[in-house]
Formats: sequence, C-alpha cells, structure tokens
Amino acid sequence: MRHESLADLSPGSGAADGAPPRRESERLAALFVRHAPELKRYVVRRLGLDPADDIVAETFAVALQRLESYDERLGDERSWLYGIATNLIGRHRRREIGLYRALSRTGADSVIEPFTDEVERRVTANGARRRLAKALAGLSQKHRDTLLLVAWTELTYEEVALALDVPVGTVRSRVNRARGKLRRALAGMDPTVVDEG
Amino acid sequence: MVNEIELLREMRDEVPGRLDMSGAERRLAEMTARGLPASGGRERPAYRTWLGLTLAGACVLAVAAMAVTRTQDAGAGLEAAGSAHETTRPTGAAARPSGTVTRPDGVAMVLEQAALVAARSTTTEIRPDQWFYLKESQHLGGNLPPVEIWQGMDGRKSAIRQQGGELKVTAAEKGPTHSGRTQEEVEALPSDPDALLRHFRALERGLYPLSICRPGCSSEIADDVKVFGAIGWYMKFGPMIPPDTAAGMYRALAKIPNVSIERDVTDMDGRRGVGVVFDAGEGVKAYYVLDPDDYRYMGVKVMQGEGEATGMSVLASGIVDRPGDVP
Repeated sequence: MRHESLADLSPGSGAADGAPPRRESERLAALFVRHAPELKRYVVRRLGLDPADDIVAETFAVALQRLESYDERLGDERSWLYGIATNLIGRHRRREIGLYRALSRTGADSVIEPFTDEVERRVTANGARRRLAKALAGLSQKHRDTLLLVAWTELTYEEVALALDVPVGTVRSRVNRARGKLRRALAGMDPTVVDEG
Repeated sequence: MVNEIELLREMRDEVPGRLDMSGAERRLAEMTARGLPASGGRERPAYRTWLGLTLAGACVLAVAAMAVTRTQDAGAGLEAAGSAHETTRPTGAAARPSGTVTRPDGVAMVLEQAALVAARSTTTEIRPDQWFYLKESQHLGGNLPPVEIWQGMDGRKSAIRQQGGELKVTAAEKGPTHSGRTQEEVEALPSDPDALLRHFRALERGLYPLSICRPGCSSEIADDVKVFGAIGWYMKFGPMIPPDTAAGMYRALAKIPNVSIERDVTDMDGRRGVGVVFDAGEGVKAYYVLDPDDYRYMGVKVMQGEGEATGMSVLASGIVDRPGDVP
C-alpha cells in the first residue's frame, strides 16, 4: 500500500537507500560483546563444546531477527537471550541427557575434559556428582531448564521467569520440585538406604 | 547436610569463563550473510559486512565485558531458592518472644470486623469444569508485568496470558498442588481460629504468598511466620474460601504475635487499604493489604529495611467457566 512504502522512506528506517541499518547491527554487536561469553559457557555446561558455537551464533541470529520487535523496557536483555538459547538447547535434549547418563555411569565427564589436565582427568567424579547427573537426566525438560538457569547463570528468579515466559511463581515451584528430586537422589548416598540404581 | 544447589553449582564449574568466541562469531557472520536462519525473518544482505566489521571490533572488548558480567551478584537467584523453603535457620532477625509485645489497639477489633463481613458473604458453588482466575502483579525487583492465570478446578489444565500476549492453554504445571486441591483443602479447613492456627503450624510444607525472611526466619518467629504465610497464601484464593473459614482466618491473624494493623497503607500497585502487618524484626515487615470496604485480600507487600519493597497484588480473581473469561 502506498502509505506503507512512504513509511519505508521516512528518515531513520535506513533501508530505503540500501544503507546498512547501522543502529541494529551495532545493537547486536553490543549484545554479543556483553553476553555471548557467559552464554557460551552456559551452553557448554549443558551440551559440551561441540554444538556451543552454533547455538550461541544462532541465539544472536534469532535475536537480530527480533531486534525490532524486542522492547527493552519489557525486561532484561540477558533473560531474552537466555530464553532463545534455552529453546535451541532443547533441540539437543538427547545429547544432554546422554552426557548426564555417561557421567553417572562412568564418573568421567566429557564436557569438562577439554578444560582439565590429565591428572585431573584421571580423577573421576565423586559419588555425589554422579548421582546429581543421574537426577538431572531424570528431570523433565522444563524443570531442568528452570533449575539450570537458576544454578548455572546469574539470572534472578524474575529474570528466569522472563526468559522462560512463565510467572515467577512457576519458576519457584519448578525449582523447589527439581531441588527435591536432586535432594532425594543425593540422600540415596546414605549407606543405610538401599541404592535403587 | 549436603546442599544440592551448591553441589549443582560446582558441577562443570571447570568450564572456564574465558572461552574462545571466534568460532561463534564466525558462525554468526555466516548465518547473517546467508539471510537469516530458521524462523523465517526477512533477508537483510546489508548486515553482512556491517556485522562482520562491527563484531571484529567488538570482540576485542569481549573479554573485558565478560570480566564485568561475572562479578555480578551470583547469589541472588539462590537466596530466593532458599527463602522459598523458609527454613528456620537463625539469621539474627530481632525476634521477640511471643506474647510479650504490646499491641496497638485495634488489631482484634479490625480483624473481628473483617471476620463479620466475611461471614456474611455468600458461598460460591464451584464445579470441577470451572476455572479459577487470577490476575496478579509481580513487583519483585525486576520488571515483570502483571500476569493472568486460569487454573482448571480439575487440575488438568491451566492457561496463561502475559501482558499484551495471547491466551495459552496447556496441561497443568506439575507441582504439589492445583486449584482443585486448594479448594478441597480450604473446604476441609476448620473455621475455629485456634484450630486454624494449630493446623497451619503443623503444615509439613510451608505456604507463603511471598518470602518474608530472607534467607530464613529465626527459629523464634518461624512458627508465627508459617501461620501468617499460610493464611495469606490461602486468602489469595478468596473466591473459593467458604465464608466461615474466611472469618476464621481473620480471627486467626489477630492471634498471631507481632501482628498489628496499619489503617492506611498502599499495596504495591498504589491502591489504598488496611494493612495487617507482621513485624519480623530488623526492619522487615510483611503486609497483607485488605480492601477498606469488604476486607477482601488485595495483596502482599514485604518491606526490607530501607524502603526496599517487593509484593504481589491481586488485580482481579474469580471463578469462571472458560479460560480467557474474566469475572
């Protein structure tokens, strides 16, 4: 429609004369600088090094697509990015669970192998971590997403709520429930309790 | 005792904060050069060079920026996790022994008045195919907008509408409770205030509309906070509380030590009401704000010392026939 094309020519849209939409690319670059390193660390902790670069890159590519509609006033940009990353991580569910299971079975964690020296590598994970890994593998995806955003990032409950697009009460109840499962898995370490595994 | 969250935080902590970002940067440049991935945005070839150039310069700063982000308060989320349990871990909060506090006049009178009004209200018949609706604000230090929630009384489905968003109906969130169970619980509650106090004190799992002491209340006041918390938690479900039970709750509030009345307070959404105040010591006060006309529960507000306040207000609630309906 006529008035729409006129709108495209309005100053500031930047698209009409083929000039790069400088403001948005700068915003994206700033977001990347500020958040990509911590985001990558989080993705590595969940899925290992291999898929991390792709997931981080895609997180920002998706962010770029939505940059126009993203309203900074609605909340924290970190929450927004972690929310996008969480969805992308969800596509690798089997890999993530497989990594926890392997850790629980063997005591060796391939996720941390690239970052530890040989001596450390020979020391296998202690019983608590193995049980923790087993419990993480058994959580629902929603509970795992929520718990790990709380434990492995610096997001507050409110920011996790924004990231997952759920009310803060839901974050609270998911964390409580997931923590309960972890606690019970760890309590199984008590030698007087029969190990079901 | 092992703390599962601490153990979890240590897990894979070996992954360093200073990871090489060049791979992600290159992939991002490739993705933007191709047009954009997956979710079907419109193509923007102009980004290609711009993004590459901007990122190349930007990444020099990445390490410095990262150092800043990692020093942010790492404990915030977990403090909240701990407080949700309201453990009785001593925190040094200035607890006062029960019963030795001189109460301002009026707490029994005001709450008795509230009880009488509640007792005269009509009973709502609720069918299992109906929904409990709650619109609540969330002033929790962030920028969370109010949220509308519908919970099926049969506990099978729930629905949510975020501000400006679409209605989303899903299977009910798995959890220890749901509206149907809450209804059964409130219907089974005694209406005698002393019996209510005993009941809430004996609850296995503390119920709180909002954490009062962070990370936990001192053992001297823990039982009182537990009772105060449980009453507020149930009051949020006002439309499903039988009149006699609601009356009993107001009378029970009046019997909790360290509870007083502030006649003119505002909730976190600026609405005026009557404040039922629990003083947890050390400048921490929890308010239930009641409607000045019918004493209906309007919301909770917790003041932490220097004017720092959090709270959630009930903006609307009721029983409706379908998700998306409002009373």
